Amino acid sequence: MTSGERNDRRPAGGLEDEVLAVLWAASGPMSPAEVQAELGGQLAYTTVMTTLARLERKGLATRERLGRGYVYSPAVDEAAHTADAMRDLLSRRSDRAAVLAQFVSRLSPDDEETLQRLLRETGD
Amino acid sequence: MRITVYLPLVVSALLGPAISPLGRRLPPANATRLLVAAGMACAVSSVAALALLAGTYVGQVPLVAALGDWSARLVHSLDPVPPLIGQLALLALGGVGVSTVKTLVHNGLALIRSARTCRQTRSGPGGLVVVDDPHPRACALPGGRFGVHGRILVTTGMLRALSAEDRRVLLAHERAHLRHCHHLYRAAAAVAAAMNPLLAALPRAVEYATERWSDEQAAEDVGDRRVAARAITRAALAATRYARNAAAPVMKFSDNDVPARVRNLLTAPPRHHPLLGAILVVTAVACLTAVNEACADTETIFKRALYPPAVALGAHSSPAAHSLGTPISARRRVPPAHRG
Repeated sequence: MTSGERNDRRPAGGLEDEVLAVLWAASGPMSPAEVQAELGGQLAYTTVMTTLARLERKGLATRERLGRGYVYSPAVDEAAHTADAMRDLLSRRSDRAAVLAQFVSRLSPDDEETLQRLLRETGD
Repeated sequence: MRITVYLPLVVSALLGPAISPLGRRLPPANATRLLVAAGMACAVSSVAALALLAGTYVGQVPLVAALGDWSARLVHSLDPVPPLIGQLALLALGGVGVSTVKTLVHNGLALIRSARTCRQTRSGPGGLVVVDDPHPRACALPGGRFGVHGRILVTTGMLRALSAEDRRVLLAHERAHLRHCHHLYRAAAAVAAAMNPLLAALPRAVEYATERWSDEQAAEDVGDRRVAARAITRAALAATRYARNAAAPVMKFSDNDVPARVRNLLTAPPRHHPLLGAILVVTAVACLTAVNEACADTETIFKRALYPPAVALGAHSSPAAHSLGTPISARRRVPPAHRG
């Protein structure tokens, strides 16, 4: 978080996806405050809470009562189901087509070293 | 016909080695559009040129000439193309046809399967589908009309390797792939390369340009190019580390040159190069114009070799008349209304 100016333009559904990603990356259930802290920055607590409630209503997250509030976890069943579909799709030889775009590819040892150096240089 | 018909092939041969450097110098969105447009123009006109060369050769086969009611000998004497070149063109056309159909089927099936997987998986409102898998991977799956309502598949392994800020970059990157229909550009590039092997460098160049396009879009969405560079770096390092430790060999889709992408994000935003863009536009226009000329010339050859209708009708009773080239002037005298 080095640069001062930060653009907060999010497309429709963008925030929900980010919150869902936070839940999945976490090791256990999270409270809205924890999600807000993880997302870091200018998001209002109520915005985070509304988003979590929406995800729960859609069945993408589950919640349980903890003390006076709720903690949220991702809905695991759905992911197990899609894991098979994805593995199937990505492992088919005929589907290694140009049309499917992967975020990153595996690096060669040289590239790995170069990138590690670049990461250290940009790291703050 | 003597020169113009070869022009698309010559231009493609010149463009081939320039594809990759041009793609890397132009701003990514422009690079993608111009490369695909110029590549398609070259590919289509090369196939058309081959078809003209082969077609004029085939038109000299007596059986074909009889079916078309033109004089085989006259076509032969009017055709400036040596028979050997016609034969080679016919062979090339066959090979190119097979590989084009294969590529179309291959990519078409991939898109259909992708759309089906999209329908079968429930996603977050922005298209995110989380896959419970430790292997750090992320992929955009086109689906819905034109593929824009696709899914963004991300494994838990990838989500855990990244910070919240990095994940935002990842989501913006994949979303850009879907929103800008990158799968269609990639498919078009693959088909163009199948139609014309001289453009073999096109698919990789377009894949790289679309990755850069999405990188730039993600950097714009989060408002910081360094943050985007860091996210891509972390993701690539995590994926590589996992692949090294995993017992099974991890497959590699495409070499999307992560170091170059990161370096590009750490330097100044891409600048416009009107001259380089113009090269691609001129290339496309030259190919299409040349093949259009060659088309007209070929049409003239066959028209001139055509038997006048009167003789053609009579020819059915006496096939020997076919072997005699009838002067064009004979045909000109017949008014159009009486033809056929």
